[in-house]
Amino acid sequence: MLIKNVDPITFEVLSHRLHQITREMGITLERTGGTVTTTQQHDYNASLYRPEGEIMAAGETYGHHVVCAGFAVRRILERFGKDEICPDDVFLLNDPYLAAIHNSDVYVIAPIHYQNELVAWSATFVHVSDVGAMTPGGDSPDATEIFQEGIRIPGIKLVERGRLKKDVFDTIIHMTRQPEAVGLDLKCEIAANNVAKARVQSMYKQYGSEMMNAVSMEMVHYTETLLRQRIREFPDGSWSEKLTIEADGLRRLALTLRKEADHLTFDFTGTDQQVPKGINLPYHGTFGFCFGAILYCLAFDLPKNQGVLRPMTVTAPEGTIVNVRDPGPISMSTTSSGFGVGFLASSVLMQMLATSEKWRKEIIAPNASHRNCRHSGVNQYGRYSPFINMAHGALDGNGAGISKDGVDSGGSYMSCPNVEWMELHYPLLYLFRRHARDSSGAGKFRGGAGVESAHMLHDAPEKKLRGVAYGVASPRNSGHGIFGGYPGAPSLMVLLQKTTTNEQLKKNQCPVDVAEIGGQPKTLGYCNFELRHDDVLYMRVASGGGYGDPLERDPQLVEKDVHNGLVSVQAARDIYGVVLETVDGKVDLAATEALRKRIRQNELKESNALSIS
Amino acid sequence: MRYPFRENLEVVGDGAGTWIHCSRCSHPLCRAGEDWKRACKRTTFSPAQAGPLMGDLTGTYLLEKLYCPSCGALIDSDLIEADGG
Repeated sequence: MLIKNVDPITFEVLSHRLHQITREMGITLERTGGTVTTTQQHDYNASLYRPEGEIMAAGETYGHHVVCAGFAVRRILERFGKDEICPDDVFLLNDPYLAAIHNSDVYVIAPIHYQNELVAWSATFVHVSDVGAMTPGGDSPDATEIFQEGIRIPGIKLVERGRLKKDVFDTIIHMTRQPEAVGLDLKCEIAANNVAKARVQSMYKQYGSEMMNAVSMEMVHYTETLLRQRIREFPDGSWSEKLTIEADGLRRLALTLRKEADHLTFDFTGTDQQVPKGINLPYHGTFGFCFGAILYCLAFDLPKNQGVLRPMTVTAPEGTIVNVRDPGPISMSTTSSGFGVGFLASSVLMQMLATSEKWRKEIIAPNASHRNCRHSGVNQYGRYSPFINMAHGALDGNGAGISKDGVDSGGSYMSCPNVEWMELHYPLLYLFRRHARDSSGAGKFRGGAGVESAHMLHDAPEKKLRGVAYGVASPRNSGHGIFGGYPGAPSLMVLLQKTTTNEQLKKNQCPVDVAEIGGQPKTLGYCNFELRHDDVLYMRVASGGGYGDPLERDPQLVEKDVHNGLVSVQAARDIYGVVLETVDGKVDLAATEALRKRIRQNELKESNALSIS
Repeated sequence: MRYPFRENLEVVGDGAGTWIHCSRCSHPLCRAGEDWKRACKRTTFSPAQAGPLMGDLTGTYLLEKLYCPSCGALIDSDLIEADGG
């Protein structure tokens, strides 16, 4: 222990209690939020900070927002100074060039005072349903500069000494297309910060300022110390990865991780220049996504705080996609280059983990994200709203590990309402939503299967909905294989126009695959589109990458996958070299062994390699 | 000195230097710090070999597979741009 007067048990109890407060903040957001994005999809974060903005206790969900909210606290401190920051004030900030990542993620930040001394900060973000950008919902593929991407607030006092500044509040929400919902979401953030304040002040009252300050300092020191020890366990070295995003041409993101002693340097030199398309990421976002990768790869069992940041440096050349210059557009940054940076950072860390017998068991094939769609329009009850069809990553298949398959539709941070809920609240009819067969990346352990879905209008008063396609547009999105494992099927979005689906439904026939739906397919890049009466939108999210050689997969597991509809008989034979009896679908082990040997010999013949005995 | 480098590869050090070996057959691929991929047997296939849903990538990507040149153990698979970009 760094602090001599904190016994280990008290330290553990108070550390867990502080993290539990962040959980209670999250529950408050879920129960009082104004939109499905907050209440069911969990696109939020809630964390606690030390008086100068260092992370004290990170909440669940997004690691990158934990870091960026810390930047937001510092920006508020710089803008207002401690003299103008009073007990029971609440501040709002969403400027992506100061701390936020895109305008839609609105940070609400509150100082926590005890006996008139600033002792901590709480901060939340939610992704509000609209920010008055040129495209409803915020993600604006046609924006070429940030001025087209909605309201941008560098820090404003929303609540002064406990009283809501109604003029400020009304001004903000009336710059959006959905003032009621945005207002509810801002108020749920105020509520969550109020919960944090009450709980933290209660702890200060019970344990006193000296103890609380000592514990929060020790938490950071403890995490930093253990993390540095872990980093030292790996040999020094460097590992690289790259990713291409298709945004009016191919845009490259490149990362090299250098590990020296107990320090990690993430170097994005080689990444392309920023583009007039909202995929650019501010520096603090890049920093935050690297923090998230370390959190999940190396620090998943440690108190989540500033200690994770101390052993890392991020080099991101200014003016590139990963360190955009004002006024470059950024509205689609989180789900494009943001998740791209998260993939790159995870990928290089996984390569580093592979150099340690102790840490190899934690390896998981990394996922390079997916496509997504946000609709907007009038629903069957006459109400207007923007809404997400499938929450980011919620139904992605996870990557395989060194000893286990990836989880089918295991998802990531967010959750997704069921089909019935979506159909009840929005003018949609789903033709199917299910695991996509043969989508998993093959391997000794296969990736998790992602989900595919098809939906069309139903009872839509305007006979149309707007749509915006965003996410990582690239054939190489989805899960990447690792150490011989194959990639997962690409995530994609296809608008099937002028289909005969309505006629089929009238005849009580329901098309259950893309071929039966028919129509004129249009694969969507970053764009706005309209979903019309005879159109169907087909989406396939990311699937997990495989781990190791598919020819080494246990044939019984392949048989089970075929039985469960996740792998076709043809893929079992061609990719895994598994022969199934035509009668009962059981594995023919002798034929399988012979086929696998033949497949590998044929592969090596292609490269004039020696034959395998 | 001996530690794993990745699946089927390990780093081995002795008096003569530090090498990257195949961990299945101990075949030395290259010195540590050199590009081990250049020492592998390499084949490329249509992306469809990785699964029927990968067919859309045909023409723009290739499935590259790298093997130990001695025992044929699969070391890496990756999608690479067909034009070498």
